[in-house]
Amino acid sequence: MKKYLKFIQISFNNGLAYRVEYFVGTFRNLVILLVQLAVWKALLTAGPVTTGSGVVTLREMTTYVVISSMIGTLLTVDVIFNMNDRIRNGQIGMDLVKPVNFQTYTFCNMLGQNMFSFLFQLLPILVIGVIFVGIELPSIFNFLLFLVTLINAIVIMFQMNYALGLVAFWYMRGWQSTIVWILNRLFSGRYIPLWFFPPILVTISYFLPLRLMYFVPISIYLGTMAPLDCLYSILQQFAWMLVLYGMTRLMWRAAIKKLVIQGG
Amino acid sequence: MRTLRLSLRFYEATIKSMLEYRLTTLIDILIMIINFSVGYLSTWVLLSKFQSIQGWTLYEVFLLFNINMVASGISGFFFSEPCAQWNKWYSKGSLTWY
Repeated sequence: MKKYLKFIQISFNNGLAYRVEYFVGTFRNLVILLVQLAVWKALLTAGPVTTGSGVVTLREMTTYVVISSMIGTLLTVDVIFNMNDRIRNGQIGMDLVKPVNFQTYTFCNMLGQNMFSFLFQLLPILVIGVIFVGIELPSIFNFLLFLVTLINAIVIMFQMNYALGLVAFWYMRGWQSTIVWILNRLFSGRYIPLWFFPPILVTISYFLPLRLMYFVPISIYLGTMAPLDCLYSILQQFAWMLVLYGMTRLMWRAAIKKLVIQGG
Repeated sequence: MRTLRLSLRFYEATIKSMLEYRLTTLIDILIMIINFSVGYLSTWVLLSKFQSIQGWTLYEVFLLFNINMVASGISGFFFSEPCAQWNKWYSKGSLTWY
């Protein structure tokens, strides 16, 4: 356990190492946030819009965008990229020799990064959101549910990325992360909430775990989701976690076998 | 002039090495197509609901998007790879190779 805490600390410190990178990243996040706010303001100044699931006001939408960027700082993980690198340059061999579980190690790595992002990227956005934008604040119950779904979302994001990272054992080319990034942009509700989607796209999104990462937590935060639906969504999250966990275990076993054959 | 010729040689080599793996190239192209489709799709989703963004209609937003893509495509063809790799080279110390 102690060694894993150390891993978390190291990866947290890595974030501190390149200060300019941090400032540029934060600046970039803020610019993207402002662009989104401007677009939604232009779209919704005429008044609230009626969608399939109720009325959307400008205030609700600005809150949505701010929370979405905050979640975004926690869900941009370079797990796939890292794993691809390790598998390609053979460092994975050294990782296997070490007395650590590779999945837990990767997870700790991400946790350290997340803590860094939470402190130095998420909190600034939150402060700006509360002071300058004036976001809505949720009820305590909704906030607790939001936290639960958010933590689940981080775990699911990790597992998904880990599973796709393992693909590199068979096929070495970093396209998986691009695919996740592309699909994430549309189906997670990262930029456009699923309220505005035509029915066919909503149906597609029900088959992907991406919806559970941005759209569900934010809907719960805003209180636009019925309590029963919240429960279903959390159950769905746990189901996805189980499925992905089983999948990564199977893939890992197969991958290790393959790696041994290559080496022998 | 000499630098230019050298650069052209490097471009040629890079393109050839990319085309060497046919499946990979095809997948890369496919991914870019999906990428742009998702961009179009998101714009369409938004504008089918709202008709216009401060007077900009769907057609005009697509046009702007395309102009942007052409510009970034041209600049990306010449400069994207070194720019993307630069920080990695730097942090790993492999700049000393060159």
